[in-house]
Amino acid sequence: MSTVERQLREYFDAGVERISVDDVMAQAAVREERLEPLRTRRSLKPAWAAVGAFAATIVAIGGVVALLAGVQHLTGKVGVDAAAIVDAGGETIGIWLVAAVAVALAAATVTWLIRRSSNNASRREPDQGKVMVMRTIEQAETDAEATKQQSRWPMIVIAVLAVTVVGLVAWMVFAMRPNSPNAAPTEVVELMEEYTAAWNSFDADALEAVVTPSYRIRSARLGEEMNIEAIRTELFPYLEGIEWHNPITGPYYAVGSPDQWFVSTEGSGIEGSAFSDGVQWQNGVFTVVRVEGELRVREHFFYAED
Amino acid sequence: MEADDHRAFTRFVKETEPRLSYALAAAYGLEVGAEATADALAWAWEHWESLQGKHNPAGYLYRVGQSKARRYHRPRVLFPAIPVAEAPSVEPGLTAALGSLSKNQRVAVVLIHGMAFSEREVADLLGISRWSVRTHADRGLRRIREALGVSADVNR
Repeated sequence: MSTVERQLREYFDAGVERISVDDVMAQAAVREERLEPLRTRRSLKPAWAAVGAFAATIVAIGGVVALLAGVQHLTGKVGVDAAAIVDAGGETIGIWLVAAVAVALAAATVTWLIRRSSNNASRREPDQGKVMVMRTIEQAETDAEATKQQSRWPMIVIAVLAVTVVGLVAWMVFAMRPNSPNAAPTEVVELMEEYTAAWNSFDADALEAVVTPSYRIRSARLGEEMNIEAIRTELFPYLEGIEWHNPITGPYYAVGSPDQWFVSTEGSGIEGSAFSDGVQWQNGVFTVVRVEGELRVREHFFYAED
Repeated sequence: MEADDHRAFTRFVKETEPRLSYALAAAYGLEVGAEATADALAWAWEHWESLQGKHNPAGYLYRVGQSKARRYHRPRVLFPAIPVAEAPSVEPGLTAALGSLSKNQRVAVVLIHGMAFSEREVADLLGISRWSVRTHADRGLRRIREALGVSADVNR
C-alpha cells in the first residue's frame, strides 16, 4: 500500500490539467479576435432561470400592486378604493400568473438552449482525454450542427412540461389560498351581502328578513342602539335623505362555530363621513347566529374614528 | 516593452501556475479547477500591469480563480476516478476521502503533502497563516489516512 502522500501526488499529477503560457496567450489572442473560447461557462441552469424569471415577474407585479394600493390609499377615500383594489387584484391575478409562467418558460427554454450550446462547446476530445482550451466559432458551429442531428426534442418537451406543471400547481395553490385563515364561509358571505344590500336600498323589510327579532345596531361611540323598528322609522329615512351608501362588499372574515359567527370586514370604512362631522364609520363586528336552521344577523356593532 | 511584459509574465506563470492549478483543482475539483485556473491566468495577462503591483500576486490570483470557479456549475463528483495506468498507486477510496475534507484542508494537504510545496507558499496562496496551513494539512492528512485505513509509517 502506498503512502497517502504518494497517492495524492500521482492522482493530481495525472488528473490536473496544466496550463501553459502558450495556452494563456492563445486564449488572449482568441479573445482579441473575438473568437469563441471553448471554456464556456455552464452556470446557466434552466430550472433556476425559470424560477428566477417567475419570481422576478411576481415581485415586479407585487411592486406595481403595492404602488397602486398605496396611491389609492392616499386618496383618502376610505372604503371604496380599498374594495376596488381587492376586487381588481382578485380578477387580474390569474393573468399575472399566466404572464409569470410564460416568462419562466421563455427563460428556461432560452437558458437551456444556451446551456446546450455551451456543453457542446466544452465536450472533451475523445482522442486526447483532455479538455480543449479553445476553438473558433466555425468549429463550434460545426459541432452544434452535428448535435442538432440528435433528437433533443423529448428533453425540450419534458422541460417545458415540467415548468408548466410547476407553474400551474403554483397558480392553483395561489388561487385556492383563502384571503385569510379566517375567511368567512360562503353561507355567511351570502348573508352579509343580503344584509348590506338591504341597508343600501333602505329596505327595512329586506333587512328584517336577514336579522333576528332581537336585532340591534349599536354604536360604542354614540352609546346608542337601534332595533329594526327604529331603523325603519328613523334611520333609513334619514340615511336616504343624505344619500348614504355602504360600499363594503367584503372580503368578510369570521370566527366562531356553525351556529354563531362573529364577522368583520377588512379594514375599511363607510363612505359618507359627512354623516357625522367628519367621522368615518366602520362596520365593526356582526354577530351572526343560526335561527331555525338559517343564519341571521343578531347584532351589528360599529365604531367610528375621528 | 511588450517583450519585457511577455517575459515577466512567462516567468510568473512558470512560478505560479503549478501552485494555482493544484490548489484550485483541490478546492473545486479537477474539471472546475482547470477552468478556473485558465480563466485566472487569462485574467492575469489581461491585467498584468496592475497585478505586478500587488503585494502577493499569487494569492490575489488564487482569489480571482475562486471567483471564476464560483461561476461554473459544480459537478457532482469533484474528483473522478483516474485510470489505473495513469495513477497505479491511488486507492479507490482516495477520491471520496478528499471529497469529505473542507476546501482549505484539501488545498493544504494536496499542496503540502502531495505536491511538496512549502507551508509559506501555501499560506501566501490562501492568505492565511502558516500555523493555519499546518493545522489544515495535518487534519486533512489524518482524515484521509483514517478513511483509507493506513498509518503514517507505510513504506514510501
